[in-house]
Amino acid sequence: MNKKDYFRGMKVFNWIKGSVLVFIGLLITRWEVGVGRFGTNIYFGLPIYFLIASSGMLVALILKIEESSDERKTLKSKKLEISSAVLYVAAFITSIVHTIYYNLEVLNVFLLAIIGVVWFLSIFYGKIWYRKILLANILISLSFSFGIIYGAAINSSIIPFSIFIFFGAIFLLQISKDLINESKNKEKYERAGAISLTSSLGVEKTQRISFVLDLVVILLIILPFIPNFVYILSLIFYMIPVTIIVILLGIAMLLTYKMKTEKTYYRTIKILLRFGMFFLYIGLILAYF
Amino acid sequence: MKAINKKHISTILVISILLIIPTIIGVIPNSDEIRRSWHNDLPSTYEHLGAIINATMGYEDRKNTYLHDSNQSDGLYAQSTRVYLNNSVNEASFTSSLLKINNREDTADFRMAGLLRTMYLDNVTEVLDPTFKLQIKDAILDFKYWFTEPGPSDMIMWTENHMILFHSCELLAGQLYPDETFTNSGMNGTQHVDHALPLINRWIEWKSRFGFSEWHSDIYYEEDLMALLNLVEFSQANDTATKAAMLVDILAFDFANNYFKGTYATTNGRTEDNKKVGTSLTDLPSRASFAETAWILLGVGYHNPNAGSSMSAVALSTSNKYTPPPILEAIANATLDYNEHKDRNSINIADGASYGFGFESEDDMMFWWPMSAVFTGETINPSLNLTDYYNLGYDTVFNDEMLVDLIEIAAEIYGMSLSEVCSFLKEATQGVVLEEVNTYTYRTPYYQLSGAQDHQKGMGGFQEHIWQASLDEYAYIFTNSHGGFRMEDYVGGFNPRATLHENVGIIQYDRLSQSLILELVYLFLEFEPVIQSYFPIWAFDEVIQQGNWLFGSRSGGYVALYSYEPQVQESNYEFRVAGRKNAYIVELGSVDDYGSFENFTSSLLATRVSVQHLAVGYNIEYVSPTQGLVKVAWNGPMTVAGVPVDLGSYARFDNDFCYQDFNTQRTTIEYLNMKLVLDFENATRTYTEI
Repeated sequence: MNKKDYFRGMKVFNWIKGSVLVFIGLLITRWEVGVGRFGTNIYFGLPIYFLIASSGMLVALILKIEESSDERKTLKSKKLEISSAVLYVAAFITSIVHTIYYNLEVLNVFLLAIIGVVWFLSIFYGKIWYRKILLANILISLSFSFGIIYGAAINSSIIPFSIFIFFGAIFLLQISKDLINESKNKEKYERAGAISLTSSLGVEKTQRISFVLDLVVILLIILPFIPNFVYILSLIFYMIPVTIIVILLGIAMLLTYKMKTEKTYYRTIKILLRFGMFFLYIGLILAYF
Repeated sequence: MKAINKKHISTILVISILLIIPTIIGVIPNSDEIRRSWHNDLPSTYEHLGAIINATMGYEDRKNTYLHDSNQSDGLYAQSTRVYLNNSVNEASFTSSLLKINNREDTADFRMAGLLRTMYLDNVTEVLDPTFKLQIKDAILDFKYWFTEPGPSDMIMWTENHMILFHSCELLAGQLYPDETFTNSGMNGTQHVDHALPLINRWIEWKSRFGFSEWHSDIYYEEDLMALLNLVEFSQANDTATKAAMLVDILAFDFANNYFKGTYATTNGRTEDNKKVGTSLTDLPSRASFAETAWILLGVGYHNPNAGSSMSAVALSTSNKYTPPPILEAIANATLDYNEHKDRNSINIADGASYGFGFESEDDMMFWWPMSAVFTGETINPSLNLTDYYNLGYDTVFNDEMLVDLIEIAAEIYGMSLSEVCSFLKEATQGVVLEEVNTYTYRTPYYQLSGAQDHQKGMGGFQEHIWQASLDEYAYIFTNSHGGFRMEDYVGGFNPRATLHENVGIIQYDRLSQSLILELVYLFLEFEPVIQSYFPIWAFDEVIQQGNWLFGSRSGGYVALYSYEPQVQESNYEFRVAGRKNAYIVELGSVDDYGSFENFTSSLLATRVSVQHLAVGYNIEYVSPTQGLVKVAWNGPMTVAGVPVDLGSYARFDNDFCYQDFNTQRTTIEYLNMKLVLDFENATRTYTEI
């Protein structure tokens, strides 16, 4: 891995995405608290989760280094482990301070503790698991998508059903995108000796999984249109970006279905899924405007 | 590669430290204990400002004093005094008012009430020039007396004070010209009388049962008094005149219970910045609009010889039929050194049905509109229907047509009905409604604490002034969370949960979460995220700021204001806390309790205050040097030394002189050998001395 790969591997943009999702989680549950508390929770929650997401990305990076052919990977992993631990502990301590000082319900700290356990298990047991790339992708996706649950938990110990729906949609959409990425980089992984889902299942099956995940995402995001099922404040505002997402994912699915081994669509599909993710964020913010 | 790793790791560490440090610093309590103090050489009284305070003057003397000074004034209302005293009037004083009336501009009804009084008085003295009188007559005949009449106008007719002014003006105009055809309505005078009288009686009945929704208003009681005194003097319906006189008695009783050292030192349902905020001895807060009337009625407050054109004071001093029962002045004097007074005004929208009010008919709306209940989930549709049916201006009913547009846009965006969206935005739409309020006033010779207990906490306001702690007429303090649709800077903001007991008050601010659209509207309206303490340093003998406390002393009275969040001095009359959430504790004391101001401050600084954040509001424990442990949270009771404090619902009146259940129509006031019985059902006003 060269310098550029490291930087890419840290996925700094995902740190920000995680913080934005915390904001969305706070936004959805804001009626549980006063405006003063809402502001304080934004002030604390976003930077805390920024650190959590960054530590998660480092854990994923560790797994990818372990899977690489780099001779000095153990030394690199150690340093990244320490960095990840420092970031996580900093976030966790700040979260405890936030919770104690503002007399928050303890669920948010509990959730961060669970995340910590997942990180720990991923580092110490993921290294010996043969599907490190898949685990790394799951961790990347979890690292930022979990922000929406954490954000909701800061405001209230009762997490609305809608939060889990949207968490699922974001998580699966990211996984879908990563699977497309794996398919695209199959040869690169193989050259590095890494075991990805594509190498074990084959490109076609991986793409089919991505296709199914896209379909599930579409189903999840249109669930709020079923009356009295998922509370959305502004269905009209939500409907506009969701329509765009359905179109984007629909095209992505079509391309995925048609593509088979045709590599030239990978870039297009990834862009479509990225935009789908972007409009999902926009939709969630507008839905609870 | 090694160097790159190190660089990355150190970058991450630096970023994390940079992120954590401000976060940690932000929550470390401010340990700044620097003591600041201010001293002023103030006179012991403010007589040098031109005030006449003479407690020995009787009612008739005060009335005559006012008449004498009013006779010198060129104001519109003072012309009634001149007519009454058989002196020539200044016709130029009428010019702008006649223009306003003829153009049907807002508040023209105030002027019309003055004109009608002048005309009635002139029927006795015949001072007015016949030609000029004809001009006034034309204005009276062409006026629009109610929104059901045809013709355009910009007049707001349906707030509590406007309503009685319009009705009383219609009655008086109809009586004055019973056979004339009124050019705007096409009705004759007798028909106007028949139209107005039931509406007046309805208004009086509501006030007798539920009190005044514009509770303790230091502005609008003035208009109420004017209308009522006009009815007392000129209504040909004796029962109505008697009942109007009884409401004047009730307002006078209110003044007796809430006036302190020359000022109406109480919570208000509707007030304005200029009534509450003074920046120096040369820029004093305005007095209550009815200050002269209160002085004539009870001798409370003082007379300013230059304030000769107060509409209600002129009405009172030119009245031959109304005389306040002596018991009211006796109570005002008896309570100078001590009083604990509770009263309740208005009802909640949610309780409408239990009092017989729905949300459909025009009559229903005439009950709700004076409470500013036009935008609530229950009232928005009938309000719009009524507005459209009579082609009333949206600006006059809804304050601003833009607000209706915003509600309609919000309804489209949210896919809700108008009613649903108004309910959803209730922090704003219902916050401005003058619903049930339970007010509390506690007085000693040195201080008075007054407030609205637990009133619409967290909701946006309009013109409310929720609490006030006073040491004299200028040395008083209050707090306000900036905002409010009336766009005042110091009153009408987001309502706190104010909980008061004797000399201690705990006031918590926390705006309830809103739709982000509403928050954007607040940004557009420039509602600042600050909570203000009005603490006029210039008005106190001494002010000390130490830690979270602000202390003030004035003429042997002491006040302490604790702020949970650190306060920053904004000016010589204002301290501010940044943010939308804060808790205040106010404690009052005196030289009799503590011996010295120093002892007072040291006692308070040594006391224990525990403030724990809640999702909304706080959980507060405070060990008061005088009351013991005081506990209160955002919800639930306030306890003092383990005993729950009565935060409401109160009786209509509850003090040493009167207890009257809410929603009853018989007020009995007793003191020593005096007894006043106001029976609204039978229209009897009985005063006896045993």
